[in-house]
Amino acid sequence: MPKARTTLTIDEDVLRWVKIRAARTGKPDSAVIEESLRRDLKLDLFDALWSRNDVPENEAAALAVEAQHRTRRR
Amino acid sequence: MRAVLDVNVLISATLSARGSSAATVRAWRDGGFDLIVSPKLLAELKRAFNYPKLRKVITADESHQLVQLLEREASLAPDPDQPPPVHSRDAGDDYLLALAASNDAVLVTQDPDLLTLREQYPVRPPAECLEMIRNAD
Repeated sequence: MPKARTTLTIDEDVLRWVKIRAARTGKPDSAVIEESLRRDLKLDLFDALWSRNDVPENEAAALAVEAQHRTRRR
Repeated sequence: MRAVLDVNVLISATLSARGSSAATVRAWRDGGFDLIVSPKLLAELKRAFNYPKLRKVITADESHQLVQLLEREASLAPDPDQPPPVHSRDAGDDYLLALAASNDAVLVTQDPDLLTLREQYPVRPPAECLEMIRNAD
C-alpha cells in the first residue's frame, strides 16, 4: 500500500505515549500511530477473512440466507 | 446514498472475497455510502454468526469484532416503530423494510422473498447496489 504524508494535531500526552511505544518497540512514530488506527478501525479484519474464505458467491449467499433464517426469532 | 445491508449480505461478505457482497462492504469502507444499522439488525447478525456452519469459517472473535465495527462505524438508527411500506412474504423481513424506509435508504439483500418486492420499494441485490454507488459518484 502506498504511503501518504499528512499532518495531525493530537494531544501532547497522546504524542508522548506514541513516542514511548515507538522507543520501546523500535518502530517509527508513524508506524505506531498506523498500527493503532488499523487495530481501532479493524481494518485488518476483512483482509484476514478474505485471505482465508473464498466460498463461491452463490454458495455464500445461500449459506448466509440459511443462517439468518434458521437463527431468526419468531 | 444510504443503504441497509441485510444480515445475509454482511455474512456473505465474510465468506466470499471476490463476491459482490464483499465489494459492497469495501465500497462502504471506502466511504461510498452511509451504512444504516439498528439494534435489531445487529442482534440478528450476532445470532446468525452462531449458526454452526458459519462457525467453521468465521471465529467467535472475528464475528464479535465485525459487530463492534458496525456498532462504531456505521450509522446506528433506532429500531423502527412504524410498519414497513410493503410487506415481505416472510414477516421476519419486515423490520428491514421498515428500517430502510424510515431512513430513506436502499435495502440491499440476497433474500428472494425481499427481492420480489423490488418494484414496490428500492430493494436491490449487492451487484446492483454497486452500480448505484458507481452512478452516484
